[in-house]
Amino acid sequence: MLKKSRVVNLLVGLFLLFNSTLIFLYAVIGMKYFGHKETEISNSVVLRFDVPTEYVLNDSFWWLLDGSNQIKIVNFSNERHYGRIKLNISDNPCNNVEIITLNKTNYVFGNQGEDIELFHVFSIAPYEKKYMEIIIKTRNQCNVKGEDKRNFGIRINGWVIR
Amino acid sequence: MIAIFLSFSKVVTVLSITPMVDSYDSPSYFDFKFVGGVRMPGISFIFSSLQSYENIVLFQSIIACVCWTLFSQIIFKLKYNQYILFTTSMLILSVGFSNQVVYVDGFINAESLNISFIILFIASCILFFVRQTLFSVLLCSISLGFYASVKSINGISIIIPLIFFAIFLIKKNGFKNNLSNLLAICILFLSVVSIYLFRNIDASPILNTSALINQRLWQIDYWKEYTLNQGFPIEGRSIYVRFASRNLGIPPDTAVGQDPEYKEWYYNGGDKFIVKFMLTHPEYVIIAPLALSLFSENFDLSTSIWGGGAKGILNYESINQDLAKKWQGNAIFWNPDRFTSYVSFSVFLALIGFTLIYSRKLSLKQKEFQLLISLLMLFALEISYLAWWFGSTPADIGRHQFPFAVLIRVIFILSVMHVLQVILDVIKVRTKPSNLL
Repeated sequence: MLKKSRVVNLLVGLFLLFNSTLIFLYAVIGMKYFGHKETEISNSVVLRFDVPTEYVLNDSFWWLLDGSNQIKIVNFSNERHYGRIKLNISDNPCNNVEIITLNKTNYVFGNQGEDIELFHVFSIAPYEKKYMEIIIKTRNQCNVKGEDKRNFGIRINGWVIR
Repeated sequence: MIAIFLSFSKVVTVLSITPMVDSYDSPSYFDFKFVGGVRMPGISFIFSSLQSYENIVLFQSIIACVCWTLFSQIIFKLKYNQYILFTTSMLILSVGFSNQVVYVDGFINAESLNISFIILFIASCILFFVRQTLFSVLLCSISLGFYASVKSINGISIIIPLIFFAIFLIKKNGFKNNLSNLLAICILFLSVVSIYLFRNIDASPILNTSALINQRLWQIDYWKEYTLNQGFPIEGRSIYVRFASRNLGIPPDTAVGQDPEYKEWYYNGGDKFIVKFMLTHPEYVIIAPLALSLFSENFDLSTSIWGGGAKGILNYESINQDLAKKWQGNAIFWNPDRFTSYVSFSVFLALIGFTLIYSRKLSLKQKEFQLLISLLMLFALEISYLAWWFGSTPADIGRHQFPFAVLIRVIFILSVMHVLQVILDVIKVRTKPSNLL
């Protein structure tokens, strides 16, 4: 009986060793060396804003206010991701944004009314949540008429992560 | 003492959380029918008797504590070095009381009791291995009976362990004594009852069939061609694509399941489609569960049984649930990083493989233990394959392959124990005064 069991052990053992080698090579060479990802960054990493989402004709946007603003980056996957965030932004209704600072880079609006794009390169660990800070400096207060007392900074029209 | 402390802490923690309910799956567990129910009678009897979610969660967690504690204690029956046994026992508890395993105790479904009864079965196998007594035979039979009664797929998967017991019986004892006769009766009874119940389960796999076709078979041209030739309505695909591309209120598989054309196809032979497909596609049966990526570049290792085994059950959503957050993780066995989890999983498999291949200087008892590891590994592969064939789509592979993931870690711990003892024996022989001279 032990002779037959030796054959069973050998077959199961070789099967496991063969597969463990393949899994190891897949992880070390495929994932680590060649950077293969099982999850797509566009489906796994998202931005979350602390300000309310507003809509015009089903298009969402977010108002960031004068001063320091935090945007949360969330990784839903159990893979580390490296990527670049592109934010499409517009000036406030007063057109008085002086300077926007994102990750120690300063941006200014060029022609009046023209949108600009901000970029942020990031690395995020599995299931991690991290913040990026956008500092907005306006020349003076920018309020709109009515109940809304916000001091408007910039409008984020959309974002892309790649 | 450590196990009692962990059990107490776990029960207190479980009592402090709100039970997690799956609005699609959970209600069916409360509809008890001995034959012909949607769920196996064991689990639906327990759930419908306990009635409240809180009672069920408490019950599941107590059963899990008992099974893991029993397993960690039965290890001490083995004739191995006491320090090695203590380490093994601690490692077993570290898996059994990790947040991945504790998390399923808070869920209203079959996973918790399934894992607990698998562990009880392994514990009873070790007891049976140490000494074939009436108690060990009864414990094996009871654990297998419980295991078979919680999930329909278990009703079939117990057949392999029962065949092992039958072979053991014929080879070792014949039918000469009362113990053998009892074992034979238990095997026969369990086989007949579990196959009968499995065949009469009314769990209509209508959604599973559409999920497997759309998420797996459609990606490979000649599998797709076969599916279309079998009459699968093209509307079933377009509905799936439409509902998968954006949130339209119901999951894509449910949307397909409600389509009249798909339903007509399903109830006119489509219910046997997966089995027919498997009979005509041996590559799907044997190779695809191990490496689906060989068939299409749309797949990677995460869609194989190895991916499910490496990952565990927790994802971003569940890791932020109360129970998973309140309980400790275990980065050695369940690393949250995908890359590290693959590397560690490959190490687990390699060590088990090495344990089975190495045969020099082993005592008879050690060789028998090696066989036990081998048989447990075959059992693990069997439940993993069965889960993969009939489910384990990319969305739920973590849950479907979780019993396999737990089993691999447990078998790895037993292999570490075995290897350490073999090394210790070799050192002892080499340092014997007579050998030194």
